[in-house]
Amino acid sequence: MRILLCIKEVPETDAPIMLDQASRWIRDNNLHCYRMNRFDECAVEEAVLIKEKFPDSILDVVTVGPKRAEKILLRALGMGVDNATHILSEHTGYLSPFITASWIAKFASDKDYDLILTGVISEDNMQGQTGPMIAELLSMPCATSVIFERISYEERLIYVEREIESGARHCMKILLPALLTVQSGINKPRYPSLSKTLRAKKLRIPVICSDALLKVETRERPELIRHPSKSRQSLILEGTLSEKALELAAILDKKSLIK
Amino acid sequence: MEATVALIAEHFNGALSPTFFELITFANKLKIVTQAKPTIVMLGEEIEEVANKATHFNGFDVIAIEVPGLASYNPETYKAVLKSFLEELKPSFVCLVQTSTGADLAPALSVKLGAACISSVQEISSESGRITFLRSVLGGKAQAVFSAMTDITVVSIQPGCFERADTGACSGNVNVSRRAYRSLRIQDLGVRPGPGCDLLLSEAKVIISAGRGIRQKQNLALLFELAAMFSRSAVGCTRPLSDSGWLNSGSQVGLSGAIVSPDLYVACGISGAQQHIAGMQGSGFVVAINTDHYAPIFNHSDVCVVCDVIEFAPELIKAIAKYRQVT
Ligand SMILES: Cc1cc2nc3c(=O)[nH]c(=O)nc-3n(C[C@H](O)[C@H](O)[C@H](O)COP(=O)(O)OP(=O)(O)OC[C@H]3O[C@@H](n4cnc5c(N)ncnc54)[C@H](O)[C@@H]3O)c2cc1C
Repeated sequence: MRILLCIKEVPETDAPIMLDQASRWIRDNNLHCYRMNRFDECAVEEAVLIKEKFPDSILDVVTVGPKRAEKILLRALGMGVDNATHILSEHTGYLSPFITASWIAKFASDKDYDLILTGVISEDNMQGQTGPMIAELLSMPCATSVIFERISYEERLIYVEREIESGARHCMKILLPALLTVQSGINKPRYPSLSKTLRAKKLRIPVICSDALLKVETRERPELIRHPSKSRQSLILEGTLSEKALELAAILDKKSLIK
Repeated sequence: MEATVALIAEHFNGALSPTFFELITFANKLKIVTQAKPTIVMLGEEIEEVANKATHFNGFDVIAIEVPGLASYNPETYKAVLKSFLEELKPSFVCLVQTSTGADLAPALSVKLGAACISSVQEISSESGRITFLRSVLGGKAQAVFSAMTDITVVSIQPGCFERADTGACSGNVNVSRRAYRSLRIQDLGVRPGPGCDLLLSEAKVIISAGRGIRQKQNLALLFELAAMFSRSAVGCTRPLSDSGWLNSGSQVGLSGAIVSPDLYVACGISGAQQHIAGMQGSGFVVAINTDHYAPIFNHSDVCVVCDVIEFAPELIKAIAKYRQVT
């Protein structure tokens, strides 16, 4: 079985982020710490688990991103993926999921994948579009927000459970080849192994220049980026830990929330 | 030809989805800025009755497409039937709700129609003829305003952002037609119910909620201790915590968990992604404790405490104990 994983680097969300008014997007700079999108880690883990069940499987991983994004490809190789390809784009600012999807679909179009996995959503752009768009461009059936899967390879079928509202599950059987977007909770992503990571570092990861792949026009663009507005008063407590604690207790008491 | 807006309505077991009314509110706002006529589009097996319900209170016409054998959502059938139908209707906007169904459909429809796709929209506005859509990015750390550059735009709205507002208008026309389509590659096997919300959580007056910021499972004990300071309290959590099994999934607050509205909600080490906010924004009073001064949760809090929750919780327990002694 041939499986393609599509992964993305995102800026670390715990740290302050900088906005860039010129590109009207999150500033792309090396002050931000970048890592693999968490939902994509689950997709990589799921593929590695499939390979444990079907040892003949070949796992390929691809990312669209700047030179820096090579780091997440190495991580995927360290987790047990066989081959990596880097679709290099030094584009800064907002990159439409449609463009990313078009490049990946073009890359995948002549490779006969049985299964393509992506994360359900990216933590930066948060639209969940890239996966379903790739499926559509390749005329593959697609299931989003997958929380369980089981393959019966002889029948060329995959059984999936999609997570829908309030944790209910929509169950379906899909004919392969298919694309799934993976929801967190489906597995616990492993840490990369040291030996695999060292081996990966010696590899030369093939690079494809995105412009050479396909020219695609963006269909939407950001007009403005800003820090979010407040929906409540957001009173910030000052002082030492115990001063803050006492002030908070006083506020809760005044609101009769301590009983 | 008059411009139209297609509203893709969801329904289940003969009832309209609760978010349908949010879609109507959005459509009314879109109508003001585009002058385009909204039309409700729905698909299903026995569709007429629910189609008649859809036109109440809004006056929009309904086009109901009866597809034999389509008992519930089948992605392949929906995409194929909607594509051929929308190609005829030629709407300027196709609008959905970013539910599990909407999120599944919207990107695929946009590819089929050559349309722009803007997901999880929270606000709509218009400036000198250009229509823009506001949405959260980076886990709520920023908001971006988008515009489309295509003739057709697929827009999905974030649940919980457009409040139901009945216009009281009379009903529109309901047109039922039939199309046959047999899904060849996807077999729908039905829906299995979820774990359901923990009773303690749904009835709690005070919820102490844990996020990834508590770092270790054993730190949960501190939050249970804090919760015990209040009567009718419960401990809730974010998705990553229930994913890792630290708390059961019935304790998860948010879009894919429980929607809660206690008197007091204390968010401990929670970043405040919109999927979490959707589950707790109805709370009476919100306190957030987070090391990151810029954590989005602070924008949705009445009181913000910038510090390590593991150091702060014992102090807060002591401070509350003092008040309980005094009174
Ligand atoms: C379709 C879909 C549905 C979803 N449904 C839900 C849902 O129902 N509920 C839900 O919660 N999520 C849901 N999510 C996930 C959501 O997008 C976020 O990933 C999740 O809410 C983040 O959880 P978190 O805040 O615990 O973790 P993080 O985002 O990692 O935040 C951790 C926070 O802790 C802070 N922190 C770190 N250390 C400390 C410390 N020592 N003291 C204090 N603060 C600290 C950090 O600054 C950070 O702000 C859903 C996602 C998708 C795609």
